Amino acid sequence: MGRDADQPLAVAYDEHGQVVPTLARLADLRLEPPEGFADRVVLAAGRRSRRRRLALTRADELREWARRGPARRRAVASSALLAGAVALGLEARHLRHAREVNAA
Amino acid sequence: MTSNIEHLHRSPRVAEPPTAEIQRAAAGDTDAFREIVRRYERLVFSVAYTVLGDACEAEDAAQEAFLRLHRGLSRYRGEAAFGTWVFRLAITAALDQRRWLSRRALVPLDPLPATPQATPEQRAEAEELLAAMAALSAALRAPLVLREVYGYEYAEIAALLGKPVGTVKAAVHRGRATLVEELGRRRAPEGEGD
Repeated sequence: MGRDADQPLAVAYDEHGQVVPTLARLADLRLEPPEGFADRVVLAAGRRSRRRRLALTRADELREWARRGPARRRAVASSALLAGAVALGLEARHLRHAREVNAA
Repeated sequence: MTSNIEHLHRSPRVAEPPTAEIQRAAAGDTDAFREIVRRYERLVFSVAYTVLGDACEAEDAAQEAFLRLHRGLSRYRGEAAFGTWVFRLAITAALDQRRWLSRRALVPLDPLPATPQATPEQRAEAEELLAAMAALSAALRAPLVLREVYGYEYAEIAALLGKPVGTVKAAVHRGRATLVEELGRRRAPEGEGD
């Protein structure tokens, strides 16, 4: 046929050898979607938005928990260290007192 | 790479929605979003049907395209025409839907959906073409539709389908040959061409 590869596709010829429909004409085709399509899309978009918001809220909560977690752990560790130090101090004071008593 | 050749596509001739309507839809106004869906539903459904060849699959793909639009509205800054963006969403949603389908050709069970803007001759022509296209496997149909119907460049089709350019060219070539053969078979008088 000698057709240039970049020309629109001629898919058939009529009885006079003339080119008839080209696929490019399908670009102008407008099909009617099923009844109520737009309303279904709007409902689905609303549902998806709510799910997304919920997921985002949960993600925010998780992020907040993760952000606070190390701080809490640091606070607990600091408290434990302080309690340990106090206990050691008390123990040392008790031993010192006991030695003084024994020495006396 | 693709954005500078968008204008070459045989993309939609649908009036753009007013900017205020887009902004209201982006802000969560359901009525504004519904108006946008109504404005583009025929275009999006038609693109999906032409790529997929099946009304049920096309409806699913069209819905997915609008859901992606809904999600992306707040990020739309008007760099590309709104209609061009919608058209691209329709194409990509249809291609994603196609990936779920078998590689076999789809055989539509239902007649072509209504074509309210077409003359009887245009409808008959579209019916003939789409019926013949049902003979194409999904692997041939999508490249052929993108190239011949919507005027995409081979490189763009390759990027959209995630395939090498050479594979796309071969698929378009084989798709053309199959389609011409199928149309010839359909137009041949009964009893000929077996």
